[in-house]
Amino acid sequence: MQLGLFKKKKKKKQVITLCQGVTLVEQVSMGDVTPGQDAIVKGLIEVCIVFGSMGGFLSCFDISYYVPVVAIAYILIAAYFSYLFKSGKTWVRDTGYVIFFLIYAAGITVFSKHINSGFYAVLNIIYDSASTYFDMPAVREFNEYFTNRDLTVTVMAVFVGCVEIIILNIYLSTYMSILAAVMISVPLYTVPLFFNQEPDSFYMILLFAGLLSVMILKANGHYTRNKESTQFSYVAKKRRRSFCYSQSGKVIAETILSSVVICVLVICVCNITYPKEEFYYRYKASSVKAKIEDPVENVLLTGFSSLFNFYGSTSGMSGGRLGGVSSVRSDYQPDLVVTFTPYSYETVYLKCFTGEYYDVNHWSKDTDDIFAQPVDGDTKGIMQVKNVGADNKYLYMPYYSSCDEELLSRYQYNRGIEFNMQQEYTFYPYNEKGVRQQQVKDSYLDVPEANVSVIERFCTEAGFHGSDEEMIAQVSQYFQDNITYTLRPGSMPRNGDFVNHFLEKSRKGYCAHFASAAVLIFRYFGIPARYIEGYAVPYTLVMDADLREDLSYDDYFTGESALGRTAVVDVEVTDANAHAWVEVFLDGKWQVAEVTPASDDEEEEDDFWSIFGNLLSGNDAEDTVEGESTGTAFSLDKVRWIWIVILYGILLVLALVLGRFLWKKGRRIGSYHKRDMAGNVIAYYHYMCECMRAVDKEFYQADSHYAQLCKMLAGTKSEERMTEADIRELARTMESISYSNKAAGEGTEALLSRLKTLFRERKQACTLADRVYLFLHI
Amino acid sequence: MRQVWNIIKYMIIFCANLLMLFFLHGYFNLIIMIIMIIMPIASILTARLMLSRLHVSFAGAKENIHIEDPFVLKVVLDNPAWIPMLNVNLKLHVKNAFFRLEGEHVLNIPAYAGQRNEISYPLSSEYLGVLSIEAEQMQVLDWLGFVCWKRDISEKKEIVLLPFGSLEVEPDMAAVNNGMTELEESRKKGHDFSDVQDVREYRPGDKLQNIHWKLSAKKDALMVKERVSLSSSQLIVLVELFQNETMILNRILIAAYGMAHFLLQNQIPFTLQWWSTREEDMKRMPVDNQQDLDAWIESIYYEAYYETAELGCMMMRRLVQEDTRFMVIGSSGMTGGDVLLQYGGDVEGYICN
Repeated sequence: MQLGLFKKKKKKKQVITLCQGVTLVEQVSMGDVTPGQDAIVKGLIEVCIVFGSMGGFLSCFDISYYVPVVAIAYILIAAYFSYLFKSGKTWVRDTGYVIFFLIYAAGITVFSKHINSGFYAVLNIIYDSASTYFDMPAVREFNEYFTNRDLTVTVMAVFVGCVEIIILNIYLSTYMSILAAVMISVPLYTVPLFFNQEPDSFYMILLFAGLLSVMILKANGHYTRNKESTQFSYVAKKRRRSFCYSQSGKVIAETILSSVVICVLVICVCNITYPKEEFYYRYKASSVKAKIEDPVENVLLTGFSSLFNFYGSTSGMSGGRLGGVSSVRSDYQPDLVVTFTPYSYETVYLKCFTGEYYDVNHWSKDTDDIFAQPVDGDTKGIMQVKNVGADNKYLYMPYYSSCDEELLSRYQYNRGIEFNMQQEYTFYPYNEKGVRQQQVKDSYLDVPEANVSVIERFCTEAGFHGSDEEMIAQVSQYFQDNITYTLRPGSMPRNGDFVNHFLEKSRKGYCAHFASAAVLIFRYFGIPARYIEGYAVPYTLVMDADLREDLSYDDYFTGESALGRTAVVDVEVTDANAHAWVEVFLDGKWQVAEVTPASDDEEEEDDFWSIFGNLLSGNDAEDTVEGESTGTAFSLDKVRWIWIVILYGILLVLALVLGRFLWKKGRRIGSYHKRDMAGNVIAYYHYMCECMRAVDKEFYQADSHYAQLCKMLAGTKSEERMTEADIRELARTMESISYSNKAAGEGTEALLSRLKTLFRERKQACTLADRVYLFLHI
Repeated sequence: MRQVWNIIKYMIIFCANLLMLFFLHGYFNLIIMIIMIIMPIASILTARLMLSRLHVSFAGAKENIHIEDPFVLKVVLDNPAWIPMLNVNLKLHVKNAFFRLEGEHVLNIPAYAGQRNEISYPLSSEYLGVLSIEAEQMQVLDWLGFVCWKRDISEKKEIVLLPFGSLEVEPDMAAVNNGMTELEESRKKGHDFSDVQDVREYRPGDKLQNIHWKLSAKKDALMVKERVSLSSSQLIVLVELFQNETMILNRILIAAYGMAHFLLQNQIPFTLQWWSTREEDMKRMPVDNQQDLDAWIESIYYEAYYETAELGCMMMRRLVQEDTRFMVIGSSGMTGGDVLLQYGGDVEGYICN
């Protein structure tokens, strides 16, 4: 006796009829089905993708490993998981996963050192490749437990690939997700491709064939079993009944094979007609890629911490703080408005911070001196500096400003120019009559112990010699020739010394790096030097200044001017003009020594549209030498080329849609005139039914001519005129024409005309939206 | 809509690879780009080519099939090219023209490379008639799911569905025998007393009973009597081709076929008659053997039914003499004579006076 609660619910067997009276006795079946074939071929796709991805990645760096071992491992694992999904039973799948997890966990425990060693081996090889690419002086190296890299890399590849197969199997078995397949396989290639390392063709073929197969299967469906686990699913929707096959391992296998053939053909043709060597011969660096090479190099050098800024602002005054900025980003907003008369082509420096002692990653402020010594000269100027966005702790004083006690006190106690306030300075640009100092503080010759050895090695390498002026010039030239100026030097590592890291490791930086290093170098050679921060106003900025016609030149400048009698101007100084330089004590006075190399133009453009414009306008053209080819074939000369292509694409799509529409209409109308009269009647009736199905959701329920005609007449004028007998007579006539071999009689033409009238009335009874839909789609 | 979505997804992947190509300038991405440019063109053109190369045919169900008996119809898709296609849609139209029944469905199957694909439909039919299965249209979806090509085809297979040979209940022939004329009865017993139509010379093989002895003595040569044709005195079985919502015609034909089969087995000569609305005439067919009977039922399948229950009987009475009796197989409950058989609760065979 069975209790009702535990009684298994019997599924009601669905009776399928092809037409009334003709019934399917059993399921529709397809011959030549090999059990389990679909699981095998899906496993094959997984193997292609994962092996193509992992093997290709390793081949990019020429990392050797035991290929057959990895291939067999992938095949077995893929087959195992494919069969788990093939069973269709949740408990089988779950149990299988648990068993595999236990084996996997045990394997990791046993082979953990091999896996780590293999992983580190790969990392070390990547770092070697990167150091060659970036020409880095030193790279990190990871400690490998075992020296046999073939074995350790093999073990690592098996375990990592296993995880990939498990994840891929879930997405392919259930969704055949191309996105998942791409996300699992392709990102691994970005690392070697960044360093211009390409995979072997064999792995490319595998990967492309796998991805192509996934794409094809996803587009066509038929990659998973139906709920009833039958070969065919019966789908009965309102307008259409269909028998759809669920999946066929045979055709999936043929698809994979076709994908492989296509990929082999394309790759072979490409290798013959446009080989890799020729591609790289024409290779020109992508400007976008060039921009991120610095951060990538910094990451490889010092880790991910180099990407982060430790200080809030990244441009403007830092007050002597060094190294907490991975990149400098200017906002190009005005910080100061300087009113003066231009008198020279040289850069005007506005000084605000003097650094005295250097300590690891900052300069301590020299509170004793700014322009403490009296200044004088025949050439004198007035400069008004208004603070519109700069740090209000500082006074921004031109060389050589007359500095009274009040100004000195404000400088010492960090009481600078308040926001929107203006400070006026009297300055003597050449200070030819100023008081000369005889000596300076010892602090200006101080080089910390931690930096001495580095400075010594650097100077020995550079070979500085000669008089003070000569050495100053040599240092500046050496920096220009050997060290890169960049606004993205990366953050300094923790506990690292700013100057030592700059001179020995990174060999790149911005003004603060150069100035700091130069100060210590000069001090090392006994030249008193100090670190200065402020703003540098180049002549080009003065050229863009606004003219102050309301102010008199004579009120602002007296004496000799290299530019002649100019005018009073308002110059907007932005944070991009913030600068650090060196002051050296020569001839009894502190003089500006500029050691920072000139920056490239590309360092300045930073906004999206500039980047996008360069990308599309072919930045590579800058590297073109006259007479040679332009290089990369993928650069676009003009942005408008894209719009033209897009426009043509839209026009082509519209033309295809319109052509299809006209062809369908023409074909349908033509069918009325090709057949005999009976054929025309049948064709027109068929068209009427098609239209009715489109607008009336219940029209499909009409299973006889009479029922169909009743639905067509509903709501029309003819419905009132025609009796039931008339409708039946019409239906009978239609049936006799449809089913008999009798030739069309005399009344057939009248019948066609009658149908057309009826249908015209029916269309008038439809809504406007329905009529438009019918016109466009039927 | 699905095709549009496939195109959009493809374009997204294409653009993503293009961005990678711009950024990394890798040969790897170049290859992907080339493949992605070639694939749609190759896919669409291949599908168009395959549309013309694929061939559909039908197989199975060769001999005449009896209703209610299962039979297997096979749809065969032949692909001579070495290119597989995952989605081939065949629009199949199944029709029983006699009963004006039809149905349409789409069969979605793959096309194997260089091979045939056979799909079996295990069917059984409840109704008689000629079951016609026609493949009207073939659609082929390209590999990437962008375009669906269509082509009209007209492959057809006809399956003749015959009724069972025997009835569940034997007809009551007493009424038949009671209604037989003396002539019919004596003929049945082996004597022929039909009217003499003509006299001619004896030919070897003529029955001795037909020798006209008186005339032969006169003419000094053997003369035989030529009697009226046998058919004019055969049992007439009129089959009403009457159809209503309950598909009664199916049962009428089954009953008529069974009755005819019974008469053949009992060597009772008979003629089947029916009213043809197409020709507007009473048609007749003498049935001497099973082949004649099958030929008759097949010819019925190309007739049209009528919706008046006793139309055949009415027409028959106009054509024959008043006292002629004939058997009618039609809807039960009609005015008629002795009932010979009943079938399905609404079909009767009776003698019409």
